[in-house]
Amino acid sequence: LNAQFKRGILELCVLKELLEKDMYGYEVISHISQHLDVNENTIYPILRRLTKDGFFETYLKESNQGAARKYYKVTSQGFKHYLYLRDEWDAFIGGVYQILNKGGNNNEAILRRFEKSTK
Amino acid sequence: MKQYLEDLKKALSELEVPLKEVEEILNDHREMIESAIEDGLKETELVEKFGDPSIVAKAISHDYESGDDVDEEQGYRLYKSYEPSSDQFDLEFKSINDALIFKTTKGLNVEVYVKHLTHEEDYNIEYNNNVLTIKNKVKKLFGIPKSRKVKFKVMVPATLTLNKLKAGTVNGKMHFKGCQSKQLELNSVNGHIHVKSWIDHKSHISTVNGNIHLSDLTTDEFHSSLVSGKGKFKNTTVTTNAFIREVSGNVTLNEFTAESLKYHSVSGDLSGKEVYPKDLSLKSVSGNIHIKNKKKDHSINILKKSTLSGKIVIDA
Repeated sequence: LNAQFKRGILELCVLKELLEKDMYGYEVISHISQHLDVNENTIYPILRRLTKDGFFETYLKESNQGAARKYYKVTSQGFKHYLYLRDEWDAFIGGVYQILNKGGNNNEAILRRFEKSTK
Repeated sequence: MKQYLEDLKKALSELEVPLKEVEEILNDHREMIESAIEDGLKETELVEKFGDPSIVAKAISHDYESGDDVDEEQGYRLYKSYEPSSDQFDLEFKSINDALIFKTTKGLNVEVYVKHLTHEEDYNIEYNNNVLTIKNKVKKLFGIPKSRKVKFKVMVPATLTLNKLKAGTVNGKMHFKGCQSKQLELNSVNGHIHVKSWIDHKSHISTVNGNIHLSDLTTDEFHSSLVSGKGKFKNTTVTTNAFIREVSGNVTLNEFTAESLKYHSVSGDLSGKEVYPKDLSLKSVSGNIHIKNKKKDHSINILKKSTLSGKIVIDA
């Protein structure tokens, strides 16, 4: 997939994770990498940029180990950005499914149609 | 970890990321790496997990660069210079992430300057029948265009009559400085809009999240709408009607004169100093409105003053 496109999806995922609860950097990374195959170095620039854009606020909180960690929190502007990206995503993926499901999505039926047309 | 952070620091400095930012990035990485080590990551797996420092630095600095600042007018290159075919000029600018500066020049040609224009094929830039068009051709893929953020600077000869200037962007900033036009129509979602020293006839300026900053604007008709962006209008003169609509951002008026001013807000506050409309109409749901005027010789005719739970104070 196109890198920018992938990045947009990751932005949406990072926003969603942080909408559920405030997290520190590594926590976001490990949550996302449970579901998606991503490198640490793709998530950090997203956290940083969205913070700069005013979509996240950060604050420091002591951890059990003592050292303070930087927590990220979604701002109301960030929530709006989430809604915007989510809309875009739904529209895009909806379009993809409309194409893929044209004439039914049963693979056997598609194969039959394909074989018939190539005969 | 020490070596990794040092390599990262070196790579960031080489890419001219400001020192203050470097400190912050290093702190963030120290924290993330410590968390990862607590989680069982071995020092030897650092590069594998976090990526090569030079690549990490590039990813960050790329972002840093595109955090655009159109105020900085350095580093533009002349993309094209057009000889005007008449004394009329129209602008049509449509973009997703690109920034725009629009100014007049003493020169005779319409000039388009660009910064970071790496994919010319993604843009439609032309000057036909007195209309300058700059459009991002890239289909929106999920709000993220394929191209980088391009910065445009358009310089128009001061001798031309500017008719309709229409500019719309999603994330880009727009600056309009020192011109006279017939119709200014600016729209943005997240980008900020700045208009300075401008004379217009019919002005429509609206944003969703972006802020609107106006200073020294004189216009016949003024219409501005904001959702959560902030509005700062300084030294604005409207010869007929002004209408400002806000949802949740705050609006500040400083030296605002109009024949009539209509202000509607949901939860945003309006704070005004030296606001002198002949007719004033205010409506808010929960936002507060506070207007403070020093000159006592202007009478304001208050046509409407309604609020559900906000406070309206007119100190004139």
